[in-house]
Amino acid sequence: MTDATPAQFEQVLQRYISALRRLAWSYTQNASERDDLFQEITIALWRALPRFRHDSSERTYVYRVAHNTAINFVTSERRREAREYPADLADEPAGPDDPERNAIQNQRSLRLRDAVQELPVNDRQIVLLYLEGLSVAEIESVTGFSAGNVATRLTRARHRLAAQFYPEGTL
Amino acid sequence: MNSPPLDFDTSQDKELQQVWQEFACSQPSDPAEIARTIAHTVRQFDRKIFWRNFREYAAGGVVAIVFAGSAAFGYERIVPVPLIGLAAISFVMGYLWWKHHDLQPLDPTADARVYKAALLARYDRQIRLLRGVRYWYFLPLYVWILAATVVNALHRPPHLSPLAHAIMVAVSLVAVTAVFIWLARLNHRYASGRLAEAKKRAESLFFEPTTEK
Repeated sequence: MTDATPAQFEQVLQRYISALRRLAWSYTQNASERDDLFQEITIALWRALPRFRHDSSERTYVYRVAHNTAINFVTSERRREAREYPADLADEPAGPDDPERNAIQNQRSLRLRDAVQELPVNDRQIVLLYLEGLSVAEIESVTGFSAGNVATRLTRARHRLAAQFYPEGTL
Repeated sequence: MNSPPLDFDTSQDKELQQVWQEFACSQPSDPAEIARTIAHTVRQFDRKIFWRNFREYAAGGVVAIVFAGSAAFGYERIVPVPLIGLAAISFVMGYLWWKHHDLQPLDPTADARVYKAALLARYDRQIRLLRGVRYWYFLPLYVWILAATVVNALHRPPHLSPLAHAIMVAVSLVAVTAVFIWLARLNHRYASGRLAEAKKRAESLFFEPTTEK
């Protein structure tokens, strides 16, 4: 098996590291689990990058590998055992230097993360890709769902997301 | 990939995307450092897997050579225990090789739908393999142990009466059989049972009810 070169891997990671961290964060609340998942994703990417043939965009390729690895992670036996542990309270996002703004932003991020985590896995994948700014065609390519199915699921998921994120009024 | 980004043209949608994309986790995120760590981890993992496989095949090879030697020099002509052992070990190793030689790892670069289907198919395959373990693993080894027990039964120690010897042989046979049945049941209940549960869990994640909450 050929692995990626460190330079190639580093460049890809540079572009997607925040998105991959967010992705891992949305699949688990537990800090050590999230670190494990992030490491598994990076290992899977390391192994998958040499097979990238540019028949899809780089970002759909990266998201495919990341989401599939996350799926494998959430269904694995060891993860089920670790799930007994409570969410790590120290597991908070980093924000700007302004403490007040930081606190508000963190609160909003955590609320959105919680709302995303409440979604069924298929819808969650679609919503995550949508939140990262992917197009319908890209979401189709990552998830394998048809454009119509993506749109239906996304509409449904957006309403659920908004209902939780904006309890006072939905979309 | 020519379609534009999804835009439902609501301020709430835009805000959600902004909140999400502005979020950065607090972990250290130096790609160079991560690349070095991953390269090291992957090398270690590959080395570990290579040596684990090597040890397993080497152990099987040593056992096969020992049985082949015993069969060739034949210390027991009436019941060919070493030959039965050699056949059992060869069968188990051959069966495992046959079941795994064309097994491809899951392809994480496939789309999520294909990947999920492949993941469930892999569960099915592993469950089938484990459910059959009583036939392709325990049964050959049981036949071998049984043959060895029968050979012992043919040689009555001088200090034992025929009745005591018969009772000892019967107890040995029952004990060996009981242990094998227990192991087979244990495997069925825990190994394949846990995999079946894992598959159910995966299915419940992938095939959510269509009705909304």
